[in-house]
Amino acid sequence: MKNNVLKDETKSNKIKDFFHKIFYRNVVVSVDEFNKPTKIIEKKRSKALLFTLLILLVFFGSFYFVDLPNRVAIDQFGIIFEQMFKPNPYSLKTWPRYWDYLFNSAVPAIGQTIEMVFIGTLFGTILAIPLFMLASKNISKHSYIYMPVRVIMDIVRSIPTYVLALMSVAFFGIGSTAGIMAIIIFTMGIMFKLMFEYLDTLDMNAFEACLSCGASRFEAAKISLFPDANPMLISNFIYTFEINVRASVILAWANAGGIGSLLKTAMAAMQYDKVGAILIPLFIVVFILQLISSFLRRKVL
Amino acid sequence: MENKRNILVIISDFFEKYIINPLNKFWNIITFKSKKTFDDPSDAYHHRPLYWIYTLLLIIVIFGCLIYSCIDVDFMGHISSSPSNIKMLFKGLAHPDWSLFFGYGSFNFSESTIYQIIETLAIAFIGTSISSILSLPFGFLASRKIVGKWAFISEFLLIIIRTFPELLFGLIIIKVVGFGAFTGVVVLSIHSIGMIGKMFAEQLDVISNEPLEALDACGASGLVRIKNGVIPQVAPNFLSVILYRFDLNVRTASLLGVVGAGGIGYSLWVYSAFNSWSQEASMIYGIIIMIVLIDILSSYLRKKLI
Amino acid sequence: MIKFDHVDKIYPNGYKALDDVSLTVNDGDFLCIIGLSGAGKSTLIRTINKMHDIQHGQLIVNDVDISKIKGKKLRELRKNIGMIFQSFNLVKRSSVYKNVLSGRVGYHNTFENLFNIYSKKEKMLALQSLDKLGILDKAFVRADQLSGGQQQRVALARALTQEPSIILADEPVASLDPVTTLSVMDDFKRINKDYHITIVANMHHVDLALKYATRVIGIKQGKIVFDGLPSEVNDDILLNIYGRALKHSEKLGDVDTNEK
Repeated sequence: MKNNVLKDETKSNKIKDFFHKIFYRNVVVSVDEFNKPTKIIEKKRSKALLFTLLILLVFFGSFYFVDLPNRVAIDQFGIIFEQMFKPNPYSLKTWPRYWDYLFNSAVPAIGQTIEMVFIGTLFGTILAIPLFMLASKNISKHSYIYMPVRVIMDIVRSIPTYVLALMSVAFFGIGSTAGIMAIIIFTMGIMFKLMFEYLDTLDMNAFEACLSCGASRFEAAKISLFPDANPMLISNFIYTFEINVRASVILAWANAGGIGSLLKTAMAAMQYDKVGAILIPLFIVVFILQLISSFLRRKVL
Repeated sequence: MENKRNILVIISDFFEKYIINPLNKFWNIITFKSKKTFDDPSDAYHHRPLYWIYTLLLIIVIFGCLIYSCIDVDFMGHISSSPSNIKMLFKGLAHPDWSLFFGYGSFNFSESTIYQIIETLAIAFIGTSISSILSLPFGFLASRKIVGKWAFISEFLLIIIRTFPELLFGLIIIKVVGFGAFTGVVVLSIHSIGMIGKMFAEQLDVISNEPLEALDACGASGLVRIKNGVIPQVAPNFLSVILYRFDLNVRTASLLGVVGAGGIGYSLWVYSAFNSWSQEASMIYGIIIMIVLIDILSSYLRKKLI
Repeated sequence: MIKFDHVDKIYPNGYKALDDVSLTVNDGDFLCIIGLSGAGKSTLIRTINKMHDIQHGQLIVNDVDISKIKGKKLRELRKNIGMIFQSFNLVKRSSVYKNVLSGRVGYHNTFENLFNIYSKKEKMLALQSLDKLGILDKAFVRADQLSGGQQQRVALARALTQEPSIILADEPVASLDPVTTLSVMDDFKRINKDYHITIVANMHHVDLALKYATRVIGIKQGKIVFDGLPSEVNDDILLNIYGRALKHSEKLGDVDTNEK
């Protein structure tokens, strides 16, 4: 019995030594006059090489799943771009009709998409407010309240917009209603994450004072935290709005409305001039939203 | 004459008391031009700024927008879902097709959810790697600390790349490269430059000057300066940015398949088009598990890095 | 009236902050607690309005045994006890007036608090308490634009707006400069005398405690080691509380004479 134990120890030592040799190397610190080492210390090997090798391995391994194309038609790129910003002989034909399509079809459709996104983002934000208050460590104190909310919302947040749109189309039917529902749930996920992390960093002194005045935790949060959290909420609203406008393009592939439905039909019919006419106002809108949102975020943070 | 004067006085008094004064008060209130010093509490009470007017205005504006949007949004194309459809949805979600998930029985492994998840991850990995290398020059050129006032050119380019919706980009790239996973790689490698480059530039702008000054004192210049003075400072932050973007790219890669750019999205689209919800459910659950795991992994690694 | 009866307070990590404390505070007292940092001064004060729970013993505040109450009854109790903090604990982005009005939160239901519905009488009360402390002119200024002494007065006004019978002060002057300290302490004294409000304060500065208090409590390692009038405090007692005698330079009272 005793013998057995000893054997095991030597075995485990060997394994230990093996790994020790991998992760550590001996470094000669000083030598005597005959160039013989007098002091040797062990130094941890840098793991950078190991990680680089691992990343390269994964990188080239990934190409097993990605087939390289036989032929890349780079010239197509220029052709498509040319077709996008010039009326085609087989679809819009003339410049007046191109502008007419841009202003009377594309712009109203984008307007409606923005309205959809506005409704969805607004309701999503309002619904997220009680959730992120519950999930904040500071406000709801007990881990059996905030942990389940966080886990559930983490799962909700991980569902992609497209999947949400598919499910809400199956539930509410084809059209903008389903798109709005998908945006509401998607917004709740993003807003929840952004806000409860912000609330956890806030200074809780005033909250404590409100409690000592006889406020409930909810009232104390309303009085002491919301003046700090409101600017952040508004800036996050614009930020989420911008993300949603971009994400709403995909809703059409789930038959949930939005600007994508025009794009989808134009793409299917190879009418690239229509695609271009939609792209110009969409680009301008997202660009402006992005400027506003980054300006607000810089001001609030 | 006396009477007339009286009437004028009465009118002007009335005018002052009920129109000018309230308007003046209202104007003072909303411009915060109330008195600076007060004689006693009741004086202060009558000159208190009415903050709720702002709240009320904000609420009116938001509700106005909301009502206008609700009226204007085109609900006409709406086709209601039937109860049997809803029943099928929930039945499918409750009974995901596990043979499709793991790829046994009537399905090949290359059709399975797991295979497609790996494919999606591969697309995201290659895309993120290539774009983080491509972002380096953009990031350095967009940093005011390194190139000075000329940073705005690269900054502007980065904004334009970010503004382009990735799905639209995918649609165009498909015409160039063709259907398949490689399209997804190209889309991600180019589209991610917008965000990674911007965040690289932000990290470069907050580096400390002292190591650079020390190097200048040694006579180092150009690339040596960047290699020894800048990169050691920003490397962990850069890695963290890349990890964060990988997390986002996994989400994007799982959708790009909808337009034919490879990954799990294509199956999502196909099975939903045929209303086969139990196959769809196995794909949905696969995506959720993948994204949750990548999210946990990426945030764990980022915490360790910084 | 506050009555401690063999009260023990043990923190979750096992640290015993209060050890068998028995103490009666009469109405109208100005009680100062002195002792080293970590001796349990803060804990003693925070147990009175149940910001900290007690483990053993009985604590009766205004004829209510607070070891058993919670929820609505606790809030009912807290609205009659004002509290002042070392770091003022104001809502920095709100105006002074809003901060002071928030003292009335215990008198309203959740709906009224959500939409800031207060009666004219309460609004006047808030402004009057600001007037009493001489900062009425700052009523509509944002709280973070005030100086430290002014912020502490706002906190005091908030406590007054509660119309409390007791004010607890947790190191009220620790982050103020010496001159402001004296004027804030004068305000405390005035409130104590004019409105007959019991004040329980803990202090770092012994001489301040001796100057303003009507009664002094010395606390050491969670135990009360001295309880008596300020005039009874002598060097032996301070030696017992602080482990050494106080040097002349450590006293704050000098500043007063120097300034004048």
